Amino acid sequence: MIFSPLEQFEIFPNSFYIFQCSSVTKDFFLFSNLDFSFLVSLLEILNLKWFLLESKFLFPNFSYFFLESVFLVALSMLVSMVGKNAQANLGIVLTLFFFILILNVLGLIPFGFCVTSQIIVTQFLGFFAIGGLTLKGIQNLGFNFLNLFVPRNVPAVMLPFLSVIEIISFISRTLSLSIRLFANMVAGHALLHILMGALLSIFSINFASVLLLVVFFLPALLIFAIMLLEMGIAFLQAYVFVVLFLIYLNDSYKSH
Amino acid sequence: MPQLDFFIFFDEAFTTFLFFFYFYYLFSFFFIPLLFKSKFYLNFINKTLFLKTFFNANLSVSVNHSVYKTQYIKKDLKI
Repeated sequence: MIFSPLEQFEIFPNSFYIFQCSSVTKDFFLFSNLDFSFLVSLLEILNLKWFLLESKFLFPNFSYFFLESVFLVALSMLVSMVGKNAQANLGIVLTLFFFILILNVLGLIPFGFCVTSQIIVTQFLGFFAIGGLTLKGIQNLGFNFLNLFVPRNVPAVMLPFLSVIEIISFISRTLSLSIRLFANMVAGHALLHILMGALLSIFSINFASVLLLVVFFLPALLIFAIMLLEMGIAFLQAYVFVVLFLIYLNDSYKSH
Repeated sequence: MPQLDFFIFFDEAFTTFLFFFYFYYLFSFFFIPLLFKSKFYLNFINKTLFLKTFFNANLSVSVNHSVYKTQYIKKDLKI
């Protein structure tokens, strides 16, 4: 039986039938597999609280120092890329990083659901990131924020065309942020699904043969390597999202 | 079913909104204050006026033994 590689991204509304009290409520209170993944991610993030608060020893444990170093790296990135006056944005930077990282990694756990493979989720993140940065830019720079759409040292004849291009590129930041994350996640999971299907079809031919055992383990090693690569991509995508967010944040603080 | 598809779409967006801002609340008012000095925390709160208005009561969260524990060790061992 062959399953489609994209079948794993399907959302099942009312997966657990928790809120289905009557025929009226069943259409309005959805508890899908996506909501379940979000709840698991919340448990993951609350684990941080356990690491930070429940250390019974005099010295803080490894997790505490690890988290502290992650937070300090984020702070130093914020200060070096935007400036010291942008320190107040540390909360949103760390939230974006851990939110995307945890959801990406949860998708790689067997029987997990990859939330960031849903375009609406990544679109929401991109839209609110860019919308928030625009509001921040208007708050900080006022009318000077519009200088972003007027390139310097350009002939006056070219200026209207280039301004239109700048405005389009500013709007497409939302799309680029969201589609990068979405496409990476969908491609990675689809690739893993296809390779795993090939492996299972080899496995189902005849396992008694020693030759087939060798044939079975070589693709298994390949899938293991790709799984490690996907773990790297999960981290890298969160990092890329945050770095691009910081580059765009720079425009909200400094006007050229 | 188109009607149900709209609800799924709305459910996804709304769930993302809820969880993202709960994460933001946790990081801004729980984890960052735990890991950084209270001076930085107060500076952070004072800069975000919107949050200051709504979560002013949570200022006392910054008092936590772990923060002082780290600072104490760092000071003594000169790490």
